[in-house]
Amino acid sequence: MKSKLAPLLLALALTLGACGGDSGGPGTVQVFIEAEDTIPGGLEPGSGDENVVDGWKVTYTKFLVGVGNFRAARTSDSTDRFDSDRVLVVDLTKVPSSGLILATFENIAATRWDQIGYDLIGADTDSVKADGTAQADFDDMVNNSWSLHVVGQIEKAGDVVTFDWGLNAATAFDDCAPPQGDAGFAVPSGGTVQVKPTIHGDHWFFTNITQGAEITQRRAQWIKDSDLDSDGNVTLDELGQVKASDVFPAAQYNLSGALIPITTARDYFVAQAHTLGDFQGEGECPTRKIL
Amino acid sequence: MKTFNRVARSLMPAALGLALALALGAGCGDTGQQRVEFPLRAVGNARAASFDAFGWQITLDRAELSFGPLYLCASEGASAELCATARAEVLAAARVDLLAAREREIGIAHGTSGTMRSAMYDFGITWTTTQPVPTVQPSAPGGHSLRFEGRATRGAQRFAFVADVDLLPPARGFRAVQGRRVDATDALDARALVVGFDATAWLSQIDWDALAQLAQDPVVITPDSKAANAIVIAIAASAPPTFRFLGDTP
Repeated sequence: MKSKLAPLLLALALTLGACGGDSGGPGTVQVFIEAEDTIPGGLEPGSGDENVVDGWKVTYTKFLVGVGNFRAARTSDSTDRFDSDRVLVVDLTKVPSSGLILATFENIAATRWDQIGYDLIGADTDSVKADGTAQADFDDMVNNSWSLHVVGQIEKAGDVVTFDWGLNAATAFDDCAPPQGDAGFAVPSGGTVQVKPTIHGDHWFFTNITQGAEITQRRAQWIKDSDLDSDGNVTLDELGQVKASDVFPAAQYNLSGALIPITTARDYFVAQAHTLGDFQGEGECPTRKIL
Repeated sequence: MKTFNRVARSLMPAALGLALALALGAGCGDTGQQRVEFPLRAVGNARAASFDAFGWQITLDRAELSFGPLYLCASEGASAELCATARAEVLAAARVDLLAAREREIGIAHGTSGTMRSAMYDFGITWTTTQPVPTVQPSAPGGHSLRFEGRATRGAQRFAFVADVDLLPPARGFRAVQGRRVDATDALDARALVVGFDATAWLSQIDWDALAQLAQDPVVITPDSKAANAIVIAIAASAPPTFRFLGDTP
């Protein structure tokens, strides 16, 4: 009798297990902030997938963000979640290649956590300055409530155009998924999983507002074309005076899908600033909300 | 025969277990989807027939576009990748008269119950994975996404204009517009979807002074012109169509 029931019990066990219960002892989650290579390394001109196709070389000297409010939950049990309200202000040009720890969570159930999110958010006095980030830059971020401050230049054939843009484009990024596989991450029983919210540095050079995979070209001419006073420096005020249709030809650009209406070049920069949050390198966080 | 019966009896618990497992497995998620359909209606802004654009009085005699196919997606960021299967869709493109004063039905959306959060769509020119090149749909006015005909007047200056505008999918397998957020609505609750088009906002983006300097009558705005680019950017990014779901409440 006992042996005849065994297949039934095994099937039941497998089925209930598939419904998403814990699968062993707890584990640890380490959350790293990672900078895409385009931030410390810039972008090179060329015809490759990651190159700037209109011949401009891009270099950043500062790339500060306010990043934090990491959260994780499970679809199978919406009451089960863990999170941190820690917000780091970090200059991503100075993040070690191994990443920067935002938070560590211990005794986390060893199972898949498929609802992952974090914020790019305006800095405030509760924000924490990351190691390697200059105090003056941190203060600028806090005093202006910026979520983003980028300083750099584009260069082509000896023509240099600089920019220094700081603003608040606070955004919640959710439903993050790695480039391949299921959404979120799995915690190993008794082990540690490294989770990496990844900030990208090339989105305002895209020719579209990507949704999911980054199928796009990279172009920088629009910045040069926005230098209204031809002084070799483009300000946010100048970007605000440039009609989007004057610098983004429809034959090259598709500006649909932005979280904000795009009327000016500044709008385009802000719209792309709302898309910088990615996951585990080239993975995406397709649910974006303006904060 | 006896051997068969013996084997069959020995497999019976496993079969029962499998059936029970399948039944319980079905309870893991929400699989009770229902088929739905609701009409798609379109409306322009009748005030577009005559309006002021930075000192120019614009009068439209004709304003038509082709809208569709339309795909309504469960994800917030709709793309071919994130919305491989639409929650609801209208597969045929339809002609819309932007000067019509009332809503007109232009298609029926077919789909399944569940929340719709975004839309992706074309303007009468499609480039699906099975089409080698962008393909003009029969409803496209004059073979283009949009066609405007009208007159521009400022004081003694006056010229007629004809505009042909194309919104092309950026690549094969893409829609012309992707990731347009809509108010989260369960398809089961949708009694109709009304799409609104604001031609006034689009045409206000044109540099009418520059057109006047062309000293043509009529001025012909071709799809590759700066004026057409201004319209495309307006439709895609600064004044995109509005989406309004109608429910049970009047």
